[in-house]
Amino acid sequence: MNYIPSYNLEPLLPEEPFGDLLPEEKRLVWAAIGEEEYEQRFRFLQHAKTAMKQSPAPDPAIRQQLLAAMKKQRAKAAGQGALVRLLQRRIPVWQAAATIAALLGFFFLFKHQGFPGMQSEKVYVYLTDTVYKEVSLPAMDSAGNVPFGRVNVKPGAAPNLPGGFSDTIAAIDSATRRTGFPYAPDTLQGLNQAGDGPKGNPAHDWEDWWQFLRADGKIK
Amino acid sequence: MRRIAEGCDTSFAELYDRYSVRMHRYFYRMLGQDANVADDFTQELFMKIIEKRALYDPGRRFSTWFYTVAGNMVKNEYRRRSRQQTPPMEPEAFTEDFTTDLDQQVFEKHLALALEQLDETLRQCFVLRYQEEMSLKEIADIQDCPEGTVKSRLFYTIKKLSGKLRTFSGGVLLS
Repeated sequence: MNYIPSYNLEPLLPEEPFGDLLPEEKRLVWAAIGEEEYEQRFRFLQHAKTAMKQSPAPDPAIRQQLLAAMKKQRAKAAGQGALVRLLQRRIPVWQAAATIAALLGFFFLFKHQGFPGMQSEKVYVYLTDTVYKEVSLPAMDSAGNVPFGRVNVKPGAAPNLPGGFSDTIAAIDSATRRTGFPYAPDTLQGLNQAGDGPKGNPAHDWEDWWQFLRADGKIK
Repeated sequence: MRRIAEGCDTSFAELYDRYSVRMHRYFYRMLGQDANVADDFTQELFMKIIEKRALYDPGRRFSTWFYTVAGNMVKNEYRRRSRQQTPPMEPEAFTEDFTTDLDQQVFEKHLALALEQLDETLRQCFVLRYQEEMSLKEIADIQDCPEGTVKSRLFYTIKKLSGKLRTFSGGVLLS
């Protein structure tokens, strides 16, 4: 006799009481678990099936909420649908290539000839800058002897300075500017401030300077 | 599902009416017989159909697929609960009074407690078979196992439960 696993009784258990089984099924039951155990499990299953049918119904509000969510989802999908359809549209490769070529052609054509409806005007932009040269400066005090109180030399005239001052530029201070001298740059403030310090040489000892200043037109 | 995917409200309503009670009952039985929890899970399950229609595998029967999704939700809930270490409910001790004062409600209560103590796979197997009246093949599809395994699981579960609830199935109920 072939061995039949006892779990093959499972399809019979929920359906038939022992008395309604076929003779070969009864033999299987006797061999596996016995008549009493079969009846016990059969009764249990009948009651279990009845008991499990009892359960509360879902909340009716769920249906309404789900239908509202369905409508919302549909509206959202409709908005995305047009773009999706456009992106999913298939066209031959040659059409795509021709379209790109045409667009590039128009772009370069209008770039040189000007785009339609667009006017152009030339505008010149001037850029300016100031470069200062840093140089050493001789200390001098001629406050009491020089006309207009201070000697001021423009940076551009520095190379023309006489004597050993070829690399120097003018002594400049704000006091000179206050005199009304028209060419005095506003640099090196306070360098030659008047005070009780030692006096410089008299003006007639600086003949070279006078000549330089006269040649530069600063004094007459 | 195709019509639902196209946004057909009527089809969705029809699907809901056909499956909502079954799915609610399934969640109710699998998740500790709490109607509010079953409501939440039923709603979440149908929301998945609305929002994630792509999850549906057209190669499978809809009901089988639907119960598989529901089964996964239940498994996730079990995992969540186990992380919270909720102590399982202990069934009350049966007394001889029940044999003489037998009541279907009392039986139902104790059956629920006994089901709670089962392994989740066995519980799902039992509920699908005897509550949802599914075939062995459908259960095998949902649990992704051979039919023989399903039969074996069911046989073992019946043996265990009927042994626990032997008092109730003693003879009075059979009448």
